[in-house]
Amino acid sequence: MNISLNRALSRRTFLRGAGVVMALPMLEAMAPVYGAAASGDGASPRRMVAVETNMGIMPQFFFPEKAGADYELTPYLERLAAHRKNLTVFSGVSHLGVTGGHMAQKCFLTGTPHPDRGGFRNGVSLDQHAAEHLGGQTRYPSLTLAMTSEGGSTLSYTRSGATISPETSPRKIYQKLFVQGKPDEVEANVEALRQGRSMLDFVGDQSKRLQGSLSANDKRRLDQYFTSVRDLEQRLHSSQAWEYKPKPKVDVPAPTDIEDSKMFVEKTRQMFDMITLALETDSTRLITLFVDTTVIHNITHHGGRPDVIAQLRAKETAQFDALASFLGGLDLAKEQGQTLLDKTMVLYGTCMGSANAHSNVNLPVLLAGGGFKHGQHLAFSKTNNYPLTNLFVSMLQRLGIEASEFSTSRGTMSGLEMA
Amino acid sequence: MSAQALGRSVFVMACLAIGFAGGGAVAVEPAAFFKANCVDCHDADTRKGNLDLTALKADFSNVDLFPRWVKVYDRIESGQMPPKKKPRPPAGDVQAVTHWLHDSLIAAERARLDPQGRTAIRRLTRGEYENTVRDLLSIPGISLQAGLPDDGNVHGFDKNADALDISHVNMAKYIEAADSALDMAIATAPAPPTVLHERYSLASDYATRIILINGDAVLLKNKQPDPNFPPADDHTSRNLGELEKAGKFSVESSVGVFRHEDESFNPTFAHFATLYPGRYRLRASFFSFQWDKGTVLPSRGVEAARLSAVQLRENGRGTADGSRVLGYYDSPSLNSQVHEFETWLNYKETIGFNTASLAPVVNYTRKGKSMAFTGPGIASDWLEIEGPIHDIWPPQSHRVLFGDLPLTAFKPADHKDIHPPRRHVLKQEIIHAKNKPDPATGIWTVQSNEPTIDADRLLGAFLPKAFRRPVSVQIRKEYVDQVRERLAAGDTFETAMRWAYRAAMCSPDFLFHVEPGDALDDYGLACRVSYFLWNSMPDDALVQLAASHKLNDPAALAAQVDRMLGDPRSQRFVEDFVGQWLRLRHLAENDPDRKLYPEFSPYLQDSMRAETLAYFRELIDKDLDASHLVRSDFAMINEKLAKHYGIAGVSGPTIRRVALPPNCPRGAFITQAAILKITANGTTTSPVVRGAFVMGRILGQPPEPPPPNIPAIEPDVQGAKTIREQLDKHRSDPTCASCHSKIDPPGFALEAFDVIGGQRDRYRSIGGGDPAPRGAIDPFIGISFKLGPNVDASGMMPDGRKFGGIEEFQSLLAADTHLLLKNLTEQLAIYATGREIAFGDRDDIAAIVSAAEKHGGGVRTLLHALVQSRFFQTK
Repeated sequence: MNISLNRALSRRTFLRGAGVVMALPMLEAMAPVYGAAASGDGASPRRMVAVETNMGIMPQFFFPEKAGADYELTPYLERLAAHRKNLTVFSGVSHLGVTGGHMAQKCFLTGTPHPDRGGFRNGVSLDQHAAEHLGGQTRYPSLTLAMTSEGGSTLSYTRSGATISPETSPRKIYQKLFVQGKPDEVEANVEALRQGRSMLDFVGDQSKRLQGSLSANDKRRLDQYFTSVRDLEQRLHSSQAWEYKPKPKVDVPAPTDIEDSKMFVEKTRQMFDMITLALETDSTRLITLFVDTTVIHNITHHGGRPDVIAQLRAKETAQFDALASFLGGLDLAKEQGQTLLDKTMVLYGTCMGSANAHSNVNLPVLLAGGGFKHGQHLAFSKTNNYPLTNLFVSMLQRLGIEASEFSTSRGTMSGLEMA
Repeated sequence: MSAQALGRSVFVMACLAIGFAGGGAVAVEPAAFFKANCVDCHDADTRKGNLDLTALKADFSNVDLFPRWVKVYDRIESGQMPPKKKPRPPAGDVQAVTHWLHDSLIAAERARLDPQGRTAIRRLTRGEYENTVRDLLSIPGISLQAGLPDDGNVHGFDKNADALDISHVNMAKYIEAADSALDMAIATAPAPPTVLHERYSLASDYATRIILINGDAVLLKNKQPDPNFPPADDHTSRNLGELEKAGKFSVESSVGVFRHEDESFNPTFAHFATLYPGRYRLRASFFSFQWDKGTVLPSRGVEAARLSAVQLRENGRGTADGSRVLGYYDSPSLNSQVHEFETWLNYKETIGFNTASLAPVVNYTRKGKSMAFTGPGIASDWLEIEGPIHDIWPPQSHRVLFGDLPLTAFKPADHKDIHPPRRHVLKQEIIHAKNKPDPATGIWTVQSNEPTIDADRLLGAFLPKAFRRPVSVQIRKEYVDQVRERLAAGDTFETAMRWAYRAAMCSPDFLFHVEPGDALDDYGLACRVSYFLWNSMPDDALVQLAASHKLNDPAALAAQVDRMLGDPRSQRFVEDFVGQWLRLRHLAENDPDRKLYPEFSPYLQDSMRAETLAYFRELIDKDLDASHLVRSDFAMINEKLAKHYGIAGVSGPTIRRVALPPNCPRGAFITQAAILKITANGTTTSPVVRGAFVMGRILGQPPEPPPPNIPAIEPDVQGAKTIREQLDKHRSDPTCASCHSKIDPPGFALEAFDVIGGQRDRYRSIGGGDPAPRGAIDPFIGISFKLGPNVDASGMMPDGRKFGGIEEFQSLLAADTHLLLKNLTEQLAIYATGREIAFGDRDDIAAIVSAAEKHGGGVRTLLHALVQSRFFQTK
C-alpha cells in the first residue's frame, strides 16, 4: 500500500482501502458508553501500543547521522516520511544491563537486567504496569498479541514476572472483540464465571489453612498463590459485568488467518488492522504486539554477505511500510477533534542493535503519536547508552499515571516534551 | 552483621580487634594480610580480574557481595592466589585469613538462610504438572504443558522456587488444564468406542497423489513399477481428477517416495484422524529401493522412514499445528519390514510420513520427471491403525474419579430440577478422514444412590493421592460439603464431583510441593525421590513404604532407587535433567545456514538428541565414572551419526552402543553433535560461548558475566578472519586475559568442530576459499560452500598445560575425574532439591562425592549417594 495517504480521504474509505471496513459505532458516537474518560475531566482517553520485532533491525539503514529536527531520512525512516512530524527517532539508547542476545527479547518492555544469568526473573512490563492503573475501564484491561508461528513469545509480563500468553490469531482476536455471544451462551458464560469465582474462593481458603504449617518465608511465597487467586477472581468478576454489556458492532468481516509463516509482513498488517479496530472501539487502551520474525533468523546472521543483506533489507523495509500504514490509519481516525494517533503512543523497536552480532546496545527505537512534541532525532552516546526505561517513565506519565521510575530508569526521557 | 559495619571495607576493619585464636597460627589482621599480599594487583588502579579489594566491602550479609567474597576465599584457600610468580605469604597467615573468611561467610549465610528452610515451597514445574496429571488420572498421553506459561530458570534449572512464580495467568491456565484433563478422564458412554482396525495407504493422500503425477514418487507393486500407474514422465497425464476417477491410485500398491517433506509437501495417511484420544497400536511396512529411470534396483543400504503424529486443526486443510516424531524405522533394501508399536494419539492427530534418510530431491522440475531420475527411494506399503485400546471400561481414568459406580442413561425429562451434565458432540471435522464417531447414545452419567457417602469415599481416596500425603478428615469434609452444595443447587453427581476434583487440582496442596518441617517426613521423601527420578508423583509402592515408615531405611530406599531407574518413567528424569543441564531443550533453536551446512537435516538433529539422551542413560545403566563426561571409548549412535562422525559399520536409524576406534574423540558429551550445535548459532562458532558452556556445565566453574560495554564480535563468514584472530585482544589485554585465559581454552579445543558437530580442519566459507571435497555428504546434496582458513584447536590451560588439539584437551580434562564428579553432583543436587548449593553446603556435597568415589564413582552410584545424603533428605 502506498504510504502517502491522502488526508482528504474519508475515514471509511481509508479503512476499506486497508482491507478493514468499519461501521458505527464510531468513536465519537460511542464515547458516552465506552470512553468514560480515564482522566475524569472529559478528555478522551490516552492509549499505548508497543511493538517489538525480535530479530533486530539493521542499524545502518535505520539510524540518521544528524541529531535534532533536521535529521536526514535514512532508507527505513524514508518509509515513515509522511509521519515525520509525528514521531521521534532515538539513537544511543538501550536497556542497561539487558544482555544475552536473543534472550533480551523478553525484556523489551520490562527492562529487567541480565535475562542471560542464572536466577533471572523478569519484572512487570510497561503495559501491565499501566493496566494495573487503567484496567477495568475497558472490556479488556490490555491485549497481548503476537505475530508468531511458535507461540509462547510475548512482550507482556505480570508483576511477578510470569509470561502472559499472547493471542496469535487475528480471527480469534476479532471474535473476542466483536462477536456477541447468544443470550444462553452469555448466561452459560456468566454461570461458568460464577462457578470459577466460587472455586477460587474455596482454594484461596485452602491456602490460608496451609499457611499455618509454614515458615515465614514459605508463607510469603504461598501469599503469591493467594494473590493470584484473588487477582483472577477480580478479573472474573469484572468479566462477568462485561458479559452483559453488548460488544461494539463492526461490519468488517472476520479476517482469515494466514498460515504461511513466511508471509510475516502480511500477518503483521493483519495484526495492525485488529489493533486499529480495538483502539477505535475502545475495547482496550493498552496493546502489545510481539512480531516474531524467527523465520528470517538465518539471514539476520548475514555475516556481511551483500546478497543476504539485500534480502534482509527488503523484508525489513516491508515491515516499515506496514508500520507506516498503521500510523496512517490512526492519524485518520478522529476522536473529540483529535486524531487517534494524537491519543495513542506507538512504541516500535527491537531488542538487538545488531542481530548479526547479537548485541543488545544501540537499539533501533522510535515513538510515534500519543501527545508528545515529535519531529526529531534524539541522539545519545553510542558508547555509553542512555536508558530506554526513561522513555517508559515519560510514557507512563503521559498515560496519566503518577510514576517517577520504571525498572532501570533514572528519570524521564531527556529532550522529549509533552505536546 | 550490624548496620554500622555496612559500608566498611576490610581496611577500615583493620581498626577492629579481630583475634585469631588457637592452633599456633600466627595471628594476622585480615586487612594487613590483604594489604601485604593482594592489593598490589587488586586495587583501584590495577583492578586485576575486575577486583578492587580496597573497595570491596566486608559486608557478608550483602547478597551481591557474598559470592565475591566466596571467590576470594576460594582463590586463597586453593593457593591460586597470590599467583605463583609472587612471594608466598606464611602458611599460618593464609590459614588464619581463610578461617576468618570461612567462619564469617558461614555465619552470614546461616543468618540469611536458617529462618526460611532451604528448599522454599514451590509449585510444580510445567513438566511436573503434566506428568503428575497423567499419572494421577491414568491418561498417559494428554498434552498439557504447551498451555501453561513458561517456567523460569534459576541456577540452570526450572526446579527452584525463584523460577516458579505464580500469577493469575497461571491460575487461569490451571483451571483450563484441569477441565481438559477431567473431560478426557470421565467416561460418558456405556461402552468403549468401537475399536477401529484399518489399513491405510499413502496413495489416499492428496499431497502424495500430486507428487505421484509429478514424478516425485512412484506407485510400486511387488517391488516393480505398478503397471496400472506408470511412473510419471513428461508425457504423463496430470489430470488428478481423471486419474482418480479411473481408480489409478490403488491403495493396494506401495508408494515409493523420492522427495523429502518440505514447505508444500507434508504427506500423511490422510484417511485417518483421531477421534477418541487414547492408546493405539500402529503397524507399518517399509522398504527401500534404488530407482533408475523406471527400473527398481536394490538400495544402497537400510534407509530410515519417519512416522510422526501430526496435530491437525479446524478442518485439516490449513497447516498442521506441529507434530511429534513417533520414530525412525528401518527400511531394508527390497525387503518389506513390518514395525509394530503402541502410541497415544490425541484428538485430530493423524500420522505423517517422511523419507528421513534421503536427501531432499525434486523431480517435478526435471525434464523427463521420474523417468529421467536415478536415485534412492523409500516405499511405504501400508499403515495399520488399531484402537483406541481399552483393557477395561469404564477406563482407569474414570475409575480413579468414580470407582465402580455404574454409568446409567440420564433422561433430562425425568430430572426436571437437575442440570444435565454438559456433553460435547463428537464430530469428525477433518474433511479427508474416513473414520467416524460412534452413533450418539444419549447422555450417560455416573449413578450414585448415596451421593454424600459416595462423595466422602471417593474424595477420601482421591485427595491423598492428588496431594501426595495424608489428608485430614476436616479437609475432606470441606470438599464433601462443596459437593453437597452443588448437588443441592441442582448438579448431577458427576458435575458436583467434578467441581471438587477441579478445585483439588487447582488447590495449593496439589500445585505446590508441600514439605513441612526441616527433615523431610516419609511422604516428603517419597515425593522428593519420585519427582527426582520420575519427574512426577510417587506411585502406590512408594506411598505404601512411606505410610509404613520404611522408606527412610537406607536399604529399602536404595532398592526403590533401583526399581525407579528401571521403570520407563525414569526416562522423564533423563530428558528433563539433561534437557536443562546440557541445555538439550534448546537443540532446535538455531537452524544451520543452508549454504554453509547443506547436509543438515531434521533426521540428523533428532539423532543428535537421541545420542545425548542415550549416552546419559548408558552412564546410569552401566554405572560409568565421570571421566565419561569428557572422554569415552564408545558412542551411542545410529547410521546417520556414524556417517556424520566418520565411523564405519553402523546401519539403520536405531541408536546403539558402538566401540570407537582408537584416537576418536567422539562419544562423550563435549564432542557430541547435539552439544556442539547448542553452543553455536547456526552460522559460526565462538570459543567464548563454548568455553563458557564447558566451564559452567561440565567443570562447575561458571565464568563471570562479561563486563558492560564490551562490543560483541561481528562474525565473518567471508573467510577473511578467523574467530581466533578476532579474539586476539583476549590475550593481549590483561584485563580480558584474567578471565578469558580460563574461558577460551575449552572453546579453542572445540573449534575442531563446526556448528553441526562435524569435525573440521578448515572453516567453511561462503566468500573466498578452495573448493570443498564432498566427504561423507550425500551425493544428492549440492556443495554450496568453500574451505576457508585453517582451524587451530590448540591452546593452553590456565595452569600452563598445553594441548595440541581436541584429544589432548580431553585427556587433560578426564584426568580430573574428581572435579567432573563434583560438578555432576552439584548439578544433580540442584535439580533434585530445587535449592542452590550454599557455601555451607560444601561439606555435604563433598560427602556425597566421596561416598560415590568410595564405590567407584559411577553415575548410578552417585545417584544412590545423593538420595541417601542429608542434603537430599532435608528441606
